[in-house]
Amino acid sequence: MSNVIELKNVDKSYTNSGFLKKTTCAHILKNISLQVEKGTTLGLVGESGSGKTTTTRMILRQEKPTNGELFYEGKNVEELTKEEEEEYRNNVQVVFQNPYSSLNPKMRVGEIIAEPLVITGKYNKEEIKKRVRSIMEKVGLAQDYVERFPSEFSGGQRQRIAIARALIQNPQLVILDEPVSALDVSVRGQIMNLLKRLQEKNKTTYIFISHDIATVGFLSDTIAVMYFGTIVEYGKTEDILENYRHPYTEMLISSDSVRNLSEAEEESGEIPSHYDEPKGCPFAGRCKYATDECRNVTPQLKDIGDGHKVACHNAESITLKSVVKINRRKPEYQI
Amino acid sequence: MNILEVKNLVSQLNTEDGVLHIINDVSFAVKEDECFGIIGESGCGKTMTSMSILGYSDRIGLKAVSGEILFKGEDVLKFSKKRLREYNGKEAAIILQDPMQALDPLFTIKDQMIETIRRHQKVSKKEAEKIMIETAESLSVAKEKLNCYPHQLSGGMLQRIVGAMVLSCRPKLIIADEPTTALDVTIQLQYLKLLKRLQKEYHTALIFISHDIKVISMMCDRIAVMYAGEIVETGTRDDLFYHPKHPYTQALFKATNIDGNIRERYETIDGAPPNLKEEIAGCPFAERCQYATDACISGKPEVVKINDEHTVKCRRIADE
Repeated sequence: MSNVIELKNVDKSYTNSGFLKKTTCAHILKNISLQVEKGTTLGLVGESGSGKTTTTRMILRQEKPTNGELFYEGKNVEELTKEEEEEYRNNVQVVFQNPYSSLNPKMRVGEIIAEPLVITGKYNKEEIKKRVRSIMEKVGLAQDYVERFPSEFSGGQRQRIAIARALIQNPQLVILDEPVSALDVSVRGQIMNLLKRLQEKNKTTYIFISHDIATVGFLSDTIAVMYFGTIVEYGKTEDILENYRHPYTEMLISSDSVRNLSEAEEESGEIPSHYDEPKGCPFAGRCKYATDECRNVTPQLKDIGDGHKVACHNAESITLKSVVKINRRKPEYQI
Repeated sequence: MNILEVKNLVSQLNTEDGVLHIINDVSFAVKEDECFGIIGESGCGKTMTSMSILGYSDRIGLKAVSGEILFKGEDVLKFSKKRLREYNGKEAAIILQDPMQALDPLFTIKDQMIETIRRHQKVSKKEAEKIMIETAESLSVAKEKLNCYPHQLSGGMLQRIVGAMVLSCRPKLIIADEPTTALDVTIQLQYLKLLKRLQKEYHTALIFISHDIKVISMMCDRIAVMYAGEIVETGTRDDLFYHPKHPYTQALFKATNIDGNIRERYETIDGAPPNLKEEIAGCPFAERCQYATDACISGKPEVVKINDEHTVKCRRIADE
């Protein structure tokens, strides 16, 4: 099994050169190493400030890493030839979170979906029309929508348009950046089922980003949990959801399963500031298992067996109070 | 005692595309000290209803065609401009999803809070500062944060500050419209717990609006389910959770995946909410409902009373 994308020891920092004040530097990503196998889904879970959006910018090559390397199908992206670069651009696509700002309101639906093909300059009008019609059918958009404008559609339908646009070139990799977070609950399921069905059919590789661990679990084969610019836990979905070892993963999962406010903590702290980085583990300030070692020594990602990695000095102390059970039996109805 | 009574409210929204029938005969009551939830998806009319309750209808082109909104017996829809000025903020206030809709990026938190307090209460600057510090403390907002500008603070902190601004005027009714939707999940719970505690301490009625069933069930004593501008079911949290009667309520619970476990496929509700450009003669959910009959499509169902607090608007339940 080959890796479509691999990040090796990627750092990303943003420096604010002060003219009359001090130069400040924010280390948004620290030593990120990730890989995604062809045909699988890597889930990236994290909240604000975790660095997951910056990670996607690295993969989309909107910006360059400060340190570290990015590999596409085994080749370093800095060494790609012009043709290989073009292939990269056509094969790595993205679906954004906000269905209202990711579609050009002045373009008709047909034009929006056709745009990636038009840009390559390789297809004639007939071929483009054919492919647009075909992808619209696959994502569940009626054919007569081609002439309409995005403003006429609901959030869920707009995401279908964005997905059609991302998939029309049959790309190797699609980055799904919180694709359903802005959608209503009853629509979320439709889009998630669609994404899963399309992956099963086309063997597309996905990187699925979300702060909602249950949605990530639905689509992912492996999960990386990010906090304050580092990967704090990584492993197969079952390991992360049913046998997590990092206190932050525990916090995410138990927040999701709380049914009664009395179970919740009123003070569980906030993510530290990038301009005032704490010494030691970035989660220590909010962690109920934190010791002096945690506050002074930054834990490194360690393999605890079978590819399950954790960055925590106290990985053994986790209590596994609540887990997310994975029950992959097919329901009785048709999707 | 009911602090708020919405009676048969029918409202229309004037848009470029024409008239939208956005609120269609909505009735509910909120008791003093109660946390009342309104659950529904985008376009169901929950935000428009809260705008109407606060008397903001004119500002957004919303016109009440019939019905009343009684706040302590007075009809908000008939308030003069002067009465509205006293009402907003001091008697009824709102916490929105995006804290930056309530805050000015150009002024410090302290300046904004003091301004708000002094607008509604005849106090000196020093007294206003005292009130500010007290309220901020009860929301666990550290004193140092008060000297910051909004862009220097996190979303969770800003929501607490907006909460503090709202509570500092001691309103009798607070509407919270999706206050935690934009917050990280680990921050959401902290905020909700805080809001619930303060609601009890300050003896305020809270109308909590959300599309998130889990959040509403944690916060609210009684809940109303809205769909296409109508309230389809009302009941206590237990009524709705253990005995949901309306097909939309049942479908919504299923689609939410309440137990949190992961399955092979998500449950969904086929189709989409109706277009509100036309008045719907029958039940708005009929076209998506597996139990719908011709009678459902041609005429509105009556409200059926299941017990003291539990009511449903469904022909199938009425026939049972």
